[in-house]
Formats: sequence, structure tokens, C-alpha cells
Amino acid sequence: MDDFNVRLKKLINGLTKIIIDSLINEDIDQDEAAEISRFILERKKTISNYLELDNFLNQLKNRYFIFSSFVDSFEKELKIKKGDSQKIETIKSQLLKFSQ
Amino acid sequence: MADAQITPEVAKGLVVGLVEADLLQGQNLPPSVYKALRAYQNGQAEESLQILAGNRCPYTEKDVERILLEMLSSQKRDQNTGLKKEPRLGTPEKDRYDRSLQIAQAVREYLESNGQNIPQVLQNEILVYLINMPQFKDILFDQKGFLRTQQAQDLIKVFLSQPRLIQAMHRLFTERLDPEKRLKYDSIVADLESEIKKLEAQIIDPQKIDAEIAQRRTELTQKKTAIYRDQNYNDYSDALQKLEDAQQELRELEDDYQVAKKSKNNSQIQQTLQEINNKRAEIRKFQNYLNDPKFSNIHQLQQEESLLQSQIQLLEQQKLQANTPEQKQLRTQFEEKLLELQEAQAKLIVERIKYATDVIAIPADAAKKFLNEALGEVAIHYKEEAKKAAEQEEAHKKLLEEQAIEKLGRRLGRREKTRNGETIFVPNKREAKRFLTLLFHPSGFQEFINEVARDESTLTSYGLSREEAQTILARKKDPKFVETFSLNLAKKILCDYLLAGGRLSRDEIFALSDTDWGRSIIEDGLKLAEEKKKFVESQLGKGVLTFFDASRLRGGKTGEWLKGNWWKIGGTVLLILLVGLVGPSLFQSASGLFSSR
Repeated sequence: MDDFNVRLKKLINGLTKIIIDSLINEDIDQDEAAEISRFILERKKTISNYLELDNFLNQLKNRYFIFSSFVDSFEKELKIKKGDSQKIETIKSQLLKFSQ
Repeated sequence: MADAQITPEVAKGLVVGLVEADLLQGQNLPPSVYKALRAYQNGQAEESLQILAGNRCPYTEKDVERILLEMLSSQKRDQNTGLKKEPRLGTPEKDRYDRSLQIAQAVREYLESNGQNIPQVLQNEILVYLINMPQFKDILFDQKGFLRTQQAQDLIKVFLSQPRLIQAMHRLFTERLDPEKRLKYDSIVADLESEIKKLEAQIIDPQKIDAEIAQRRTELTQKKTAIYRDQNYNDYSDALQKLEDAQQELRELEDDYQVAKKSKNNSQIQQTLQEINNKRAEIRKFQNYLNDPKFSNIHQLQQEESLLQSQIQLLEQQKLQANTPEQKQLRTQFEEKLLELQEAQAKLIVERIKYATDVIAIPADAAKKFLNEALGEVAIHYKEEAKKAAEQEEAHKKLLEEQAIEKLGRRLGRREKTRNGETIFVPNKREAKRFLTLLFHPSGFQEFINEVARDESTLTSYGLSREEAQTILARKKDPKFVETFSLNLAKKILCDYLLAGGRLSRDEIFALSDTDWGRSIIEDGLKLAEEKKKFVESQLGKGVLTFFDASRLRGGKTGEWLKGNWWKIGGTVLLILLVGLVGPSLFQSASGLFSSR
């Protein structure tokens, strides 16, 4: 499984936990949980890259309050990860130049 | 090795798992949430979402059968499977079970296929529900009252393929067929039955004992008869008689022996001893004979007879104990428990009927929920539209009222005047006085509006449109409107009256200050005076009213104008002066002005 799919799986995992916790804490009812789950399942089918993932995260944050803090930290993590991989790519290309 | 495999992550997972398991037990989660949580804990987050979304049928065919047997059957459990047996054929219980099972399995198939497979049973249930809905009667039946079969089938299929209906069905199915569900009175009945059994074992029932004694006695008689009827009974009886005779004779010989021993008669002793030995041999012979196998049946029957007799004896002893206080108390408890059991059994039947009804009603209840939500949204939409329309209508009415008051303000207390072919309405003292007279009355506002808004033609004669006139007429009984209407117009009429040279008598002024509108006009008096002042200034040159003293007024043009026209503002000024709303310096100036005339 590539890095993107690992991220997506981690996200789905986190979102599921939040829905279940919110149900247990009675922050949402079963109808709301069903609606949110359907939304996630439907949208998940359409996500194939990081840009779509970003859009999805924004939609989630705007539509369902229960996800706001989770999405924020997930986005932050995603940003750091992206920055790291960019740095690695830069170093790689520089090393390649030196070797040439 | 095992310790080395437990990493901090694993340990955390185990702890969380244990804690969550405890939480679950305590929280009594709805079945689908519980299943979703279980899936999540097993690492199947997406499956968990599918369950939460209502895309998974939560129970198998066996699950459905098991829960319905558990809830609807009153039969004992099968020793091998542990499941309750099916209700007995031909009973209402069996009918309820069959119907519930049929519908529950149809809903399960429907949910498993996510609404793609719609069993006929389910279609029929929905049809029955829709037929009873007035909204669908016109669609489902033709003018002759016959069902439009094709339309009905199409409608039902469209209806049952709605995602929200599938969700509603899923929710109800999950709740009502929850395998953990139990009927409240099921365990109550079981507990009572067990208690009754225990009490029954302790209770001595005299009637029951009597019946048992009678039973034993009958058996005893039967045994005796069987003994007499044995083919060897006569031989046995003879031998027994002979044995008894021999035993009697032996006892007599033994007595003889004691007598001979006392008399020390040796020959008699020897002879008696010999006879005793002979008798003993004779007895042994009889005893041996009686033990012959041909008498075994008689012996067996005699043993049974003896056992029965001892049992009867025991029962008779027990019967004597039946009336002790402890026994009486036990019997009372027993009776009470029996009554409780009967009541609980009746309630259990009611519970079973209700449960079956709930299961059978899953399609109809889901359809009802779906329609209510759908129609509820429509109703909300129409309510909002109606509210908007009402607000618009209210605003329109308000506008009409304002227009009407404005028009009346330009016409009441005035008279028509034509100058250069143009008609204008100028303040008219007499006309204004007519209305003011009405307004001075104690219930002046109402009298005023009754006069002004007598009917539609009166109002249209003042220049109002028919719509404006109708609006005023519709509100003329509303005290709040009457006040607004009359107060606004009263001020204008009074102004017109004063501008037309009308004067108020001392009594009228006091009457004015007694009325609400009069006080209001006085409060507005300062503002009005200021406005007039500004108006006059703009017309006659700034600072003109600072020459309000008699000497300067007499000298200039303004003074001349005011000398000739003082009456035009005199009424207002007088009114203001009388109620003390202006300072004494102005009063002095004004008095000078008036005295100069």
C-alpha cells in the first residue's frame, strides 16, 4: 500500500472512531451518524490524490463539527509529512547533481 | 519470549480493549452501534462505517429465527440445541410466530440486497399501508374503486428503493430483532414457576394425601386378591396353618417341660424333650415346604402388601401434620405465588403479542417514518411560505393604513378651494372645529373614527381608494389602531384649526390637557414651535423671531406682517404659554405683541 492510501486508511480509521465516540457520548444520534458515515463512504470513492484529500478534509470540517479538531491535527500532520518529503526530494536531486 | 513480544503499543491496545469492553457492558449501546464498535475494534473501520450507514443487514437468517423463537414461543427448550421449540400447531401463538418470521425474513432479504430484492411479502405489506393512506387513494384506485395493480406495483417499487426508507427499515429491523432482547415477563414467569415447585415440595396437602392413601389401599386390596387367586394358595394356606398349629403345640410342650422340670420328674422331662425335638423337626419341615419356589409369587405379593401397608401408615402420620401453622403459612404462600404466576403468564402473552405486532409492523412503521419526514419537510416549506405571505400582507395593510391616514390628514378640517383651475384643500376653522368637538369628548377617539370612517363612501369622499377604505373599516374596532389613527389626525386637525385662525377657549384648553392626545400634542408642542420658527425664518429671513419684542416688530416689514397675521400662530403660542412650556421672557414679548393690537 502506498503512502497516500496508508494516509487515507488512517484518516478513515480516525473518523470512524470519532463517530463512534460521539455516538457513545450522545453528541450525535444514530441518524446523524448514518448520514455522516454515508457521506464519508461516498466521498472516499472519489479521493485519489492529496488535493482531493484536502478538499475532503475541508468539507468535513465545514459540515460536521465533531471532526474539526481531528481534521486540524490531521491536516497539520499531513503538511509536515509533505514538507519532509519535499525536503528529501530536494536533497536527493542535489546529491544527484553532485554525483554528475 | 512471550514477555518480549508485548511492546508498549500492544499493551496499550490490550488496556484500551479491556476498558472499552467494560464501557460497552455498562452503556447498553444500541445493537448497530455495538456491532460497528466491534468491527472498528477488529480493525475494520470501513465495515464499521458501512454498519453505521445502515448498509449492512445486521442479522443472519438463523439469528432472526432464533430471536423469534426466543420471544414468541412458550415451548420448552430443545435439549440438544438449547433453542425453544416451535409453538404448537393450530395455536394463535404459532400463527403469530409464522407471520413474524415471514415478514422479518422478507425485510432481512430486502436489507441484505440494499433494497434491490423486494420480496412479495414486503410489497404486500407496503401496499396495505399505502391503501390506507388518503394521499395515495387517488393514485392506487380507479374511479370505480378498483386497484390499479400496475401503478401500485410501480409505486411500491419506487417507494421501497428510496434510501431513506431503507435506512428507516434498517433501523427498526436492527432494534426490534436485537438478539439480546428479552421479554420482561419471561424471566418473571420462570422464577415464579421455580418458587412454586419448591413450595409444592414442602407443602402437605390433606386432600392429596387422602387421595394417595385411597390409591395405596386399592393397590393393597389388589395384592390380597392376587394372593388368594394364586393356584398354590390352598397348599400354602394349609401348610401355613399346620406350621402355626405346630408352633402352638411347641409352645405348649415347652410349658409342659417347665412343669416337669419343677416337679423333677426325670422320665417326664425326657419324654417332653423328645416331643419338643420332634415338633421342632415338624416345624422346620413346614417352613421348608413354605419356602418352596412354587410359593415365590405369594411371597412377592406379601412383601408388596407389607410395603403398601407401611406407606399407608406413613401417609396417615403425614396427614396429621398438615394443619400445623408452618404448613398453613406455606399453603398461603403457595396460593399467592400461583396467583402471581397466572398474572405474569397473562402479561407474558400480552408481551409476546406486542412483540409479534412490532415485528409485523416493521414495514408499515418504516413507511410511516419515511412519509412523515418527507411530508414534514413539505409542511415546513409551506409554513415558511405562508409566513412570508402573511408578513407581506401585513406590510401591505400597514402601507394602506399609512396612506389612508396621510390622505385624511390632508382633507379633514379643510375645505376645497380652486385657484387658477387647480383644486387645493386649505384649513377650515369650522370644519376643523367640528372634528375637534368630537375629539374633546371623553371617548373622543372612537367617536372621531366612527364619524370619519362611517362607511366606505364617506372614506372615498376624502380621496381614499376602496382598498384603503376597506382597510380602515376593518380596523376601526381595534382600540390600538383607533388611538394611532385618531392621535395622528387630531394633531393635524388642531394645527389646521389654529392656522385657520381658530381659538381655543380656556375650558377647551383644560379639556385638551385632560385628553391623552392633548397631552401628547403639548409634548410635541416645543418641537412644533421649533419647526414653525425655522419655517418662518426660512420664509422671512433669519433672526426674525428674535425681534419678538413689540418695538422692533412695529418698525419692520416682518412686524407689519405679524401685526396683521398674529392670529395665524397665536393659537399655538397661546396654548404653549398656557401650559408653561416656554420661558417668561417670551411670554412678556408675546404679551406686548398682543397688547399692541
